[in-house]
Amino acid sequence: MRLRLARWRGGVLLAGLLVCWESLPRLGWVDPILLPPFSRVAGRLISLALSGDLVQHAVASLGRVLAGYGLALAAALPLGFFLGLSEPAEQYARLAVQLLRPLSPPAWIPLAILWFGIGNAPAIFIIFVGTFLTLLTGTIAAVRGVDRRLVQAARTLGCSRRGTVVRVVLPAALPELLTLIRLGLGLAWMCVMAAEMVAVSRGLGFLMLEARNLFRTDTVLAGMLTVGSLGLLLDGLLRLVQGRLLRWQVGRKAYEMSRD
Amino acid sequence: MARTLGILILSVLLLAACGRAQPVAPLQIGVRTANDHVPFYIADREGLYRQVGLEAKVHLIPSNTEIVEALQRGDLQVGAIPVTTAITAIDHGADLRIIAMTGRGSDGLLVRRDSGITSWTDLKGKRIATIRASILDVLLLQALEAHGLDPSRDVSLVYFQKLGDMISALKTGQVDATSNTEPFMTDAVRQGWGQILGYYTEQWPDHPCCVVVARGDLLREHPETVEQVLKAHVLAVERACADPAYTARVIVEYLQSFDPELVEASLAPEKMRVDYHLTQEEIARMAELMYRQGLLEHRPEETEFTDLRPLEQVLEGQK
Repeated sequence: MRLRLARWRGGVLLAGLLVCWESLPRLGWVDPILLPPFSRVAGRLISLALSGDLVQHAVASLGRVLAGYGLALAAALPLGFFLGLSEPAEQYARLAVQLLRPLSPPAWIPLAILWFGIGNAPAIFIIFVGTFLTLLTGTIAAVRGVDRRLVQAARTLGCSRRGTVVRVVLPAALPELLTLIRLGLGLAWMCVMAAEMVAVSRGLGFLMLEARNLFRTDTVLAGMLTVGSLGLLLDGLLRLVQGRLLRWQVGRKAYEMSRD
Repeated sequence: MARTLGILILSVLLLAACGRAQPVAPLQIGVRTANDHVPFYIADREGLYRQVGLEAKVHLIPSNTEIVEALQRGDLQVGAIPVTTAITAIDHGADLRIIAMTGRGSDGLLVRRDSGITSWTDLKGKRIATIRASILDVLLLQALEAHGLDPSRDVSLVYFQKLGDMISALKTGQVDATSNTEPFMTDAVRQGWGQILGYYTEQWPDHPCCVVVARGDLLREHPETVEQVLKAHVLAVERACADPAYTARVIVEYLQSFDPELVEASLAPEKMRVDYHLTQEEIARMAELMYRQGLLEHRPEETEFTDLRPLEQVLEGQK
């Protein structure tokens, strides 16, 4: 019942925004070059989809996001675990991480071209660097946030160091890690725009940049809607995985509520 | 609920504020850092706007697209942008008109000295860096076709967003050539690694490069202000042409890179020139070229892009 109500409220807000979007330029309150009506953007989206262009651009971006973000996950999660468990190692890494973290993805473009040439490689690299450090610091925090009493109890009961990590730290940090992975995926889509500024001729970022150069605001918005929809779809998949992996939390929450 | 409603109302008000007519004083002018935008730098630093009785502020803006977007919103009333950007914006409904020229020439094709590319036909099978739908792209396609090359089959076009990134890609061998502009090309030659294969003036002598545009409402409601802008522009162009060494120093001051000697070399008449004269025919020719390249949605009318009356008034007054 509560879920239905939440969905209904979300739908009402979205419908309200769409009505505003359609009517503001039609009533002449907003310049239609700056904000074309929703119907025109939807029409553009349909024509791009029918021509097959949208699918090609979406597949190109999706491939880069999955590759860049997959590499970032593969590197950041184990390293984050290691640094989260070892305070001296984290102290060594802290300064470098803090130094590099504020750099925005476009700042890496000149180096990406020099190091990786042109094509997919620099784009994947930009998505990688745009997400890696956020995942790393989030993983360190998630591991650090695990209740020390759980770790101590496992050790007291004779669990090995490795067993404690696998059976106690990982499950305890998992809820936070899965939320981090979902947030990181959103960040990876944000990096697409910067990544596709570099010598690519396919991709939603490229489509939007080209459309902006040609003052096709309808195409820019159609690209944004596609990025948003793909992000929503992937986030939905991750939520399903999250629900499966964290089924045990339902029992724990019920237990905690019964104690309250 | 009340908060959501508040956000919606605020969003509506913010959006509604965009693109409304802005007060004219001080007039806001948007330009980029480029050789042929120097008349605006000169007019700004020499007080030429005040001299013609106009209160104006010149803003350096990072990209052409941002200048058009600011013009459309009403944050700027006048701007300098490449002719192709102006034509595309007007074609898509922006209420702007081209009112004068600011620069001609300056664009061409740069290769590495050790690339073995010595003629246009050597480009067959090569990768050429360009900025999609820009003046560099439009003139590159024209030059390739003029030399018997099919841009879609004979070469591989690699799209970038920034001039500097294309230079980096060429320098490091990621591409074989780049459609580029001054003073970047002369700089590459002076550094010893670059070679200019040709300027696009070979295909179209004295082709338009950057133009001055004004908002339609300014032209309709305050034509006298547009004339004042152009009076200052004409004075600045004449000053720029009369003293290339001074012009180079001003460009360096605004670009904050390169040295005056290099910039002065890039201002040589065979490479580029600053200018204010404008004809409807040359703009229509460029629009026709863009239409043939698929960058415009409808075949352009000769008169839809320009408003030459203010410039004619200014030049008439000078006589």
